[in-house]
Amino acid sequence: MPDRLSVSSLSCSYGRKNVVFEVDLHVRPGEVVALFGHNGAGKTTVIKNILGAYTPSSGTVTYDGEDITGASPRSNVQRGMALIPSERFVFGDLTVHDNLLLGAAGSTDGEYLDRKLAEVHDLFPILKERAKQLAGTMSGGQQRMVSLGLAMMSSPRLLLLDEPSLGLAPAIVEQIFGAVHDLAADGLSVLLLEQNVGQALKIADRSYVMRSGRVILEETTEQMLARESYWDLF
Amino acid sequence: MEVAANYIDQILIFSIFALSLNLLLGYAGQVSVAHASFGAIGGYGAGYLSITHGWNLFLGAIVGAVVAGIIGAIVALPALRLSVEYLILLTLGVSSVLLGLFTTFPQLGGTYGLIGIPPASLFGYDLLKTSDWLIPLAVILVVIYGICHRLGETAYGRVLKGIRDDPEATQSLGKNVVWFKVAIFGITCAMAGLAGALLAGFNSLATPSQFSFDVSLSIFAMVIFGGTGNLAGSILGAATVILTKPLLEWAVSLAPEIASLWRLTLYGLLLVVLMRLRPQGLVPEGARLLQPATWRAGSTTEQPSEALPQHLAEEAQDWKTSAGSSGAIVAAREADWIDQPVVLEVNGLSKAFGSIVAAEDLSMVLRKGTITALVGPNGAGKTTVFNLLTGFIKPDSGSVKLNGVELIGTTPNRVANAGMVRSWQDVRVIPRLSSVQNVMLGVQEQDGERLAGLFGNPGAVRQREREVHDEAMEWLRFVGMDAFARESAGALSFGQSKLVALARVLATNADVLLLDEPASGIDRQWVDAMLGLIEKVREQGRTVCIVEHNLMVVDRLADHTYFMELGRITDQGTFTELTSSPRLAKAYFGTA
Repeated sequence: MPDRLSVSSLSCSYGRKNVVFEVDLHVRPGEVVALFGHNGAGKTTVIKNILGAYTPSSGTVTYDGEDITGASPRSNVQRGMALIPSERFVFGDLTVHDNLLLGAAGSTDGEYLDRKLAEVHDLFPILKERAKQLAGTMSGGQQRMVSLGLAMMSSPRLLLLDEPSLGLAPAIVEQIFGAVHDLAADGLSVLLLEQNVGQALKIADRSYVMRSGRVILEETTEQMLARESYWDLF
Repeated sequence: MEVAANYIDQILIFSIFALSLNLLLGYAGQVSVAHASFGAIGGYGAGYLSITHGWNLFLGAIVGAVVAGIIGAIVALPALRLSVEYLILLTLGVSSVLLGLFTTFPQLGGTYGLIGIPPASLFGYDLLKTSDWLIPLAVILVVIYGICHRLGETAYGRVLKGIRDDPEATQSLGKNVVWFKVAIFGITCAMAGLAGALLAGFNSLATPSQFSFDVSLSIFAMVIFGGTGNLAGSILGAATVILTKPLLEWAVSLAPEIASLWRLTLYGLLLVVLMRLRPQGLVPEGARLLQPATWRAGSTTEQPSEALPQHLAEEAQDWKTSAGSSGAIVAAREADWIDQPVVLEVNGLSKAFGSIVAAEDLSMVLRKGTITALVGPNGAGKTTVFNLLTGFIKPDSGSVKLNGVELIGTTPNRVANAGMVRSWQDVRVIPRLSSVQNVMLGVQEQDGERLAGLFGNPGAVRQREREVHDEAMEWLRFVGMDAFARESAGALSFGQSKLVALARVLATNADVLLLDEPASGIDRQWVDAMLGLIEKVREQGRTVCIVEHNLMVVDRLADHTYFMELGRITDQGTFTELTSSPRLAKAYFGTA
């Protein structure tokens, strides 16, 4: 099966700051790939380049066999990408229901929306109970669920997920990662950016590790789990 | 002749207004749309003293300038913490208040203003014709230009430009930002008061319309036309704005009353075109009037090469071949660490933002000539510790003692003066200053940064400025950036600007250096170079504390490491000790 996402020799700079150097990675359909790395290693920059929020200074991004280097975020969302940022991932002043509708990327097809809402409510029943609540008034974990639901409303095929465990209690992290695992089982490809190695390895098929803008390691989950410690990777 | 003299006189007077506003706006980055109303203080003051008390206008002008300066300094106090948009509103309010006040006093002529100010006299000679004013005004302009140049283009101006571009970073280098802001507001308002008095004397009247908000905006336009941060440009700007009306009358043969209306339209259009084509003004900062920089929108500097300075590249290579820290070396370093005297002692430091605890009962020590690292997962509060130590955030409780002296409650600049200086995660070099100027900003005890020294002892200031320059060059050489000394810091690559920022921190001669992520966002070879430099700094006997997410960096540098979680220090020891703890691994990686 061809790769859903393939990034080759991707380099990127913000103005004067070179942040990502010659990154190669790929994600197959239905695969969860973890991307680890210390703060500032360049993980977020990589996914923003994939989505098209930044234009790489060199290298290519291929999605389902199509070269999409430099394509706009809008067109990439239409191709089936979704990105959930690590911070400010819901619209706090809108209700949970409105957040989810926004995620449907402008679709007005009532039947489609109902079907998608039902899928999201199946995934996180609390989002149905709290449909009328302002998203900003929910707990951190619930907001994460809203963000994941919001992303799923556009029926993505590739999810770029930036540190979903940040600031959450372990039980909530397990619940969210469980949902991601289920979605991947249905064919969703996930690129999961994390510092929480323990949780991420529970659902990841493969891992990359970045340090100071470069990918320094690619390993299967078995190989990662066999390591004595991760201190030398960060 | 008299007609030409009239315009030249106006250009001379408004050049004073524009120069002083440029010093405030272009050099110190403080916006004021009330400059003409400070002129009103001088104009009304000198006019009143002249009419009712028979004072010589020039004497009254000096009094008016002093009063305007004092009021300006007072206005600066509430303006200190305001962002640009609120500063505009505040000065707009000041403008209304001042002009409103003047019109309410019948002694000042109410809405008509003071009319029939007696002619000014100089050395017993009355200035009756417009041409009589030419020489006195030209002399005053030269003096004011000299003062502005002294304030703007020496050590004092370097601090002003630092404040303009990054007040926090400038304060962190030990500069009393509050005092500089108040002083420059006062000085420039005094100059505006002087110009207002001259304008009133020249026109023989002081009226509200002469000093209205429109006039303030015209002065603003002069500065923008001419180029902010460049004094010569302000005179050019004043000439451009003053001469549009007569040029319109003459070139398009418009009637005077229509020409003044068209002038407004032309101003607007010129401003729009100028902002599009030449946002930095006719004479950009750093350019000379006679050799204007090339006509190009935006920045004119080329991107320097990404290459690592040669000797740093060699040293980086050395390190790679000599491999990282072995267990034995680390153990020796830790044993050594314990024996070193304590330089900084932190006890029970706590800080909460509402219900969020940023720091809880933090206690730590930094020991002389050693490198201490703070590590911990995201959001543990490591940068907050730096902010607490350097006075940028006031703790709720606790104590920070540097060589036994309590620092809690002092301002960030005093902390720097006391010998503890921090760097910033996002570098914060002053983009429009050259590399060497950035480093010079770090040097302490500069005569040229004090008004008394600046004007009282120019010889000593010159001498010290040379020393400061040499010192700064030494530090640039130390970090391998001396070849880029004259390059503006904004044009450097990220790695290069990090080295310049390090040189700047070193130039403060502070005993304790707090380095916030010194190795983040830079390429491998730069990381090696940076680490080599930090090790050299330790060899010099300075005390270093780093916050760093790249654990390889911590492993190589740290003699002692504190582990932080959720605002608390939960463990300490060598990096190897900490990394062998399963509990800390769980906290950091979420693994069992």
